[in-house]
Amino acid sequence: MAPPPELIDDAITEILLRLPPDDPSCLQRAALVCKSWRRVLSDPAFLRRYRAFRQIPPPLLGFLRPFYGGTGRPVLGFVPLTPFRPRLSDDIRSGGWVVDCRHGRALLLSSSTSPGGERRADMIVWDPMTGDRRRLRDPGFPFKVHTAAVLCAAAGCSHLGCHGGPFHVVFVFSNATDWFTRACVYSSETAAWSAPASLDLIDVFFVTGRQGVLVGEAFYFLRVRGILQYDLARHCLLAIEFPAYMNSNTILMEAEGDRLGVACMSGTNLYLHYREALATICLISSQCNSRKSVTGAPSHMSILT
Amino acid sequence: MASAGSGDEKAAAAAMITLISSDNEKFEVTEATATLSQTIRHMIEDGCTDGGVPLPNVTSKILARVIEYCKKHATAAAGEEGSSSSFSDAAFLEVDRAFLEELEEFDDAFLEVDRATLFDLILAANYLDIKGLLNLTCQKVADSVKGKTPEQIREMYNIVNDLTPEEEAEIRRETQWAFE
Repeated sequence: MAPPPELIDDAITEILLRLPPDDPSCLQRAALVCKSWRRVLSDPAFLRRYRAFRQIPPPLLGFLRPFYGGTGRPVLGFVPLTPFRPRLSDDIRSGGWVVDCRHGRALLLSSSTSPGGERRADMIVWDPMTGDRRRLRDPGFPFKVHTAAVLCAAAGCSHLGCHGGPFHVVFVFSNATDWFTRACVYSSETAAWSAPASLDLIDVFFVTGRQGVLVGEAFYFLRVRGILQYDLARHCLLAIEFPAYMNSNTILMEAEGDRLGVACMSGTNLYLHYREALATICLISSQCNSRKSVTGAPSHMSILT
Repeated sequence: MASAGSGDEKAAAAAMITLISSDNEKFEVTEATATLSQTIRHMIEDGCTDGGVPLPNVTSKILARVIEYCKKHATAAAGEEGSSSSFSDAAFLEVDRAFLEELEEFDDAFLEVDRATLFDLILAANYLDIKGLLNLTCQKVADSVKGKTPEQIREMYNIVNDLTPEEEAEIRRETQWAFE
């Protein structure tokens, strides 16, 4: 029997596109077959085509969460849902809390206070798939309260494989002296922070363990009494207050139609709110009485896709 | 009437396309069969099929198989277009289901080929841009690769490992989790 003919790259691509999407190890093993298979698989365009071909969101690889050992300091661990295991080197394990996870990147944040009372935040933007990391410090303004988020900064990106591309980090903070809330944006391309956007808001307390939610061109961070919106396009901050019955037992989410969704449990009631694009302050609410359990991502867990 | 009859014959003859394999064998196929290939469809649209379509990348053995696939699937496509008006919905669905099952059986039998032929079919489907055939053949290979080690994949498809030991070690180091 004649040996199979050599395949051209186009034909290899067509075969590899059809490997099952639920197990990333299939693609990794295929990369070891020969040079041409490896060449096809390591082309960033392949990953984008693979996701688009399957018409599925990237698979849920697992959860990043802190584990508490004997030292009392949390150590970052990974709870896998597929055979994928990120390489957790010591600097990542002890890199702090995962404050955000988006577009294939995790944002680790570790804050400390100097004996003089000055706070600093050290962050690592980490790509668990490739192991790439970038360290950055806070923008250098005094702060007491802070949170941060990461996102891909490539124009027109489908986010189906933006490994190695440019990214932004949004750092939102307020200090005890003037009680202004501010936001600065770090660009991986310039390796510098932007000038701050400011908002006169004095009671900013972010709910810990909750990621910011990106909807359209804006980030939403959960505060104890409401939401803080940071508009990426306009570089401005806006406060959204909650109705009186709402509490911090609330989850922010992206709802259909590029809207911000807010789900709040109060007693046995689940309140669902959707924020319409043009309404700046008021929330449009619908209410359903539910005795069924409602599950969201447990706090202090970041979903990695 | 004689004149009308010859007109029909002429129309039928005009709808035939000649495909010429790399070893110079000629295949007469209907336009409906030939246009499952996007490559040939474009050639027909550009009016450059007079004197036959040379396919220097496809042998007669493979072209015969490709045509067999296209004939079957062209009938399926024609059936879909024509049948909706002549059956009630329920009857149409029944016929449709039976036909789809038959088509699936055909596809399964069609894939009973040796690995060299399978690769040849993939190359031909890619070159002729026949979406259904490309999907069918590539999915067959992808399914067979699933869960296999790199060594098993190379052996199955007679692929030479041209990675240097250093490159191989690097990939294994980077993605150790995939090999455990």
